[in-house]
Amino acid sequence: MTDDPEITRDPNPVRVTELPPSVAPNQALGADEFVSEEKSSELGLEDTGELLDMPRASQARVDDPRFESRQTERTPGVGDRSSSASELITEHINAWFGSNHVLNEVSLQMHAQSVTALIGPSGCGKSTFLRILNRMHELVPGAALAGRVLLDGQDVYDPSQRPTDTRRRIGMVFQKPNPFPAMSIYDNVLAGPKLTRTAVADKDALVEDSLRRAGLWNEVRARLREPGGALSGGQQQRLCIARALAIRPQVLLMDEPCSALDPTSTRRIEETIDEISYDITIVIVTHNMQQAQRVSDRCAFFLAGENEPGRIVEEGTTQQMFNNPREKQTEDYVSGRFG
Amino acid sequence: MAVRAPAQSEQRLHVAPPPRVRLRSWTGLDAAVLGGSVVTGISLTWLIFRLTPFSGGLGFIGCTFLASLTVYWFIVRDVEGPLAAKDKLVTVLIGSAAVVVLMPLVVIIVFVASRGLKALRFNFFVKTLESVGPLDPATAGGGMHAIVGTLEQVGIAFLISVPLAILTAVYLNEVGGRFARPVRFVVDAMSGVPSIVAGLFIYAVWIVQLGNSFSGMAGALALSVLMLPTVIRTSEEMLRIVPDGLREASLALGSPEWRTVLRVVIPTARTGLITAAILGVARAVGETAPLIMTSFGASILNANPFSGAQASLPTFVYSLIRSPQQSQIDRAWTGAFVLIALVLGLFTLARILGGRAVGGKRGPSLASRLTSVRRRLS
Repeated sequence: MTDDPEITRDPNPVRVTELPPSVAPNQALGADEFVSEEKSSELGLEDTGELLDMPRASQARVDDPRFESRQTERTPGVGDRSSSASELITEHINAWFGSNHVLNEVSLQMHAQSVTALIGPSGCGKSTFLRILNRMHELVPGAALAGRVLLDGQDVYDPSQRPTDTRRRIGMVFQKPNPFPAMSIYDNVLAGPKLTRTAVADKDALVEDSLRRAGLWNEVRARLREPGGALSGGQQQRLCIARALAIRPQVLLMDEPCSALDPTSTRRIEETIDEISYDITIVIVTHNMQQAQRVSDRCAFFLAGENEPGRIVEEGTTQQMFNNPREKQTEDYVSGRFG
Repeated sequence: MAVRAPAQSEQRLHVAPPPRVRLRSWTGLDAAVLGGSVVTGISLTWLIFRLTPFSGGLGFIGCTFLASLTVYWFIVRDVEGPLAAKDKLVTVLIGSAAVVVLMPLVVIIVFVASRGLKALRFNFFVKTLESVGPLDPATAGGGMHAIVGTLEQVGIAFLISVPLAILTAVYLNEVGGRFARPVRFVVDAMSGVPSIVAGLFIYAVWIVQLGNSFSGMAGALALSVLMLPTVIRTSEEMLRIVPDGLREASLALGSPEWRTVLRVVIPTARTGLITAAILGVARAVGETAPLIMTSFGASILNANPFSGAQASLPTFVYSLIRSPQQSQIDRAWTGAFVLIALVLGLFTLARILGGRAVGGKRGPSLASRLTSVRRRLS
């Protein structure tokens, strides 16, 4: 995939190049219709081992009563999603913790409406890079940085930009699910508007819409008033995604969102990523190569030498990174020879 | 999955659950063994005390305890083996330690109740000592003025110190900065201030220097000085255990820091903060020394805390217990008992308020709790 498929303002801009030819036309019609009987029954089984190795586009949208239908997802009057994604570009990012130089000259383009995966061994600065994108980096005492982060062409580190505005536009999902324990599921979803003093015309609709998009609505619709902490780990993480989606971010950063989850929850979240990536730019840090392969359109491989700051070794489409990497180090890493 | 789910629930309906194995349950046999050991221990000690020159109540209890434990250990070792013997011995030791720790509390409550209930009539809550003569029985008059005074003084002290203390704790834990260390040091130093010094301080500044009269307000100020460090340090600990992930999650949503503290951190630590406030009230409500020089005490009702001497339960007890008349002494015990009951009532109230579940609903309702109990029984 060398050029951007999303320039065709398709309501469902599927990466056509990755689709089997027979599936692609159906995709444009509607996501659910193309799921064949055998696919959905196959997905209904607990064993996902076979699925885990599937490339992203062939992973079926599940037409299972437990999962949301993509048609019912749209609630009238709750924003227009197809236009909210933004392009995120970093230019010559350097980062320090005290005197420790952790990132060196990282320049990366994260295309609108696509999923960019940041891969690389632990301690190479992926999470730091992610936190730089929405100005969470500066909350760490002793943290410093240089370079520019452009959100739709506007530097988020420009003195005129308020960090709270940047964080509203660039949402974040953390490694550990962290729903607010003092709030109900309902209030957790509405936490963003409440904390940012954003008026919401129809709260119920926003809650339902966000939970649907995070793929959690059917599981929690009957117990919205229960505390968010009472959910299972995977559900909590999807609640956190719903909470992040409720403020309608243009970009969503995910810092190893599935590292603490079981395969079923992981698959559910990957489906969620797949679904929301049509209107939100997603940047995801993952240590799971299969996951990177499944969910991302583009990959950036980070590496830090001993006593050297982290840098991007290679960056490109996921297909190319995994099948035909330019660098030896990338090939070693994606094939599991180190890291 | 969709096919399997109903089958599973059917199975659950028709097949009776297997009998539960309770691995660490306390059976009748265990109780009998322990009881027998205690009886043996008592008999053995009695024998020792008869045959040797040992004597004394405390010694008897100690010897009985040791003898019972030894017998118990031997029996369990014989029946269940050395590992179980060790386990049960330690269980009994820890259980006894808990009982010993609880003992003073129980003794105090029982002792105060036995003395205080003698003169406790309803009129204690509605009458004062205004028209009580020396020959009146202990049941005449009451301590209403003292109850009102205590509630007002502690209430004002609460209103002054708790918001101030929580703000300080927020400063120490959430804001930080260069002054956090000196502030924490001062708070620590404050917690070491003797209560009489707190009273003297308010007396010297508020009453002598600023020319105010003795009043409930002055007493409340002195109590605030004592409450502040307790509430600050406890609140700080409570805020510290709020996971950083929640703060980050809130900030990542675009929330300003102050709203993160107000909407996320403090609600999460709510139960802990209420505990902190309770500890502060507990510290203040029984204080006598700082009140002697500030609210002074009175035998008539003064409902206005801002002017004139005002009674309170501790000063009520303090002044009456030194009286030579038995009726006054009985009233003092009644006052002490009411003070304990008051504290207990306040704690219960705070617990109920603090234990309220998320989403405005009380935890499991009484009905649902009863259902679950019934299900367990059947």
